[in-house]
Amino acid sequence: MASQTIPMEELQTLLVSLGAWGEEHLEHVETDIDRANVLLREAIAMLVQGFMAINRASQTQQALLLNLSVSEHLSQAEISEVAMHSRQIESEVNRIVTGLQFEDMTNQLLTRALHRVGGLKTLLLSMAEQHEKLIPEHGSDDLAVVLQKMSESLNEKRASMHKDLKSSVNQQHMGAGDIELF
Amino acid sequence: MAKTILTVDDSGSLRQMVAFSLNAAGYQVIEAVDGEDGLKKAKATLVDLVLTDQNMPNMDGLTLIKSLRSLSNYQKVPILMLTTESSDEIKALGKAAGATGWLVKPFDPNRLLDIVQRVIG
Repeated sequence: MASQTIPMEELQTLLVSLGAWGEEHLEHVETDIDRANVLLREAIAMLVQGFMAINRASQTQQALLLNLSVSEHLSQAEISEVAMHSRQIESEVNRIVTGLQFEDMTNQLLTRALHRVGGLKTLLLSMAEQHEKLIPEHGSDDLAVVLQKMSESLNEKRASMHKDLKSSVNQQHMGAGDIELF
Repeated sequence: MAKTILTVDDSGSLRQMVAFSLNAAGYQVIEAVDGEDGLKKAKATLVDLVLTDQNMPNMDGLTLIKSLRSLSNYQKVPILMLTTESSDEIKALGKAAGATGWLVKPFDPNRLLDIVQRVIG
């Protein structure tokens, strides 16, 4: 006949390992997401600064060209070409302004991912903490009570995480969003 | 005299892009880093238009709109939401709070300018 003894010590070890191992992995994930977020923010700040400087220089250059086109009696074709380049620059500037906004959206997504990782870490640690409630002398009824409490605690955490971490970013491309006047 | 627009967003790059787009068209832009800062700046200077994000630390966009609408001098000032949020539920909350319109990020500078001109001229 099979033994009815509950391997309580093994169960305790499993819970402790699960918590420690999970926490270790998730801490690395948190560090990497944090670092990616910082790098992204710094890179965008540099791009914005560079873009502003290029735009200022380009506007000055365009103004000079327009003045030259008058004083140097450029042909109509040359004047049209200068104007065409101005329009092209303006169109590209608009595209860049739209594109540079991705930092705001990715920052929100990364922050939410960090909160999710934090939630998972709390969940694993709260499971690991339950090992103290497992006593080798416990029978199956006592174990059922501990497992029931674990489930309840996990469900509570899950519900609060769902409530707090609804996604606010649904965009999957960098096309401009909808506009609605009420 | 140039019309003044208050842009409220916790993202520095987003505020810069809004200011860049509107400055180029002759508007004066005041920047605020969250709803709380936005409310403080709106009280200090009566602006012609408020452009606010929704998800921000300290005070979110909907709370800012409600706070502004409770001030006598902001009852008719247009307030546009500029946010990543696009669900019908949150738009309805924005409308109920007193928002004039809803713009989903990212914005195109020409379309932003067009809507600003339609709202405040």
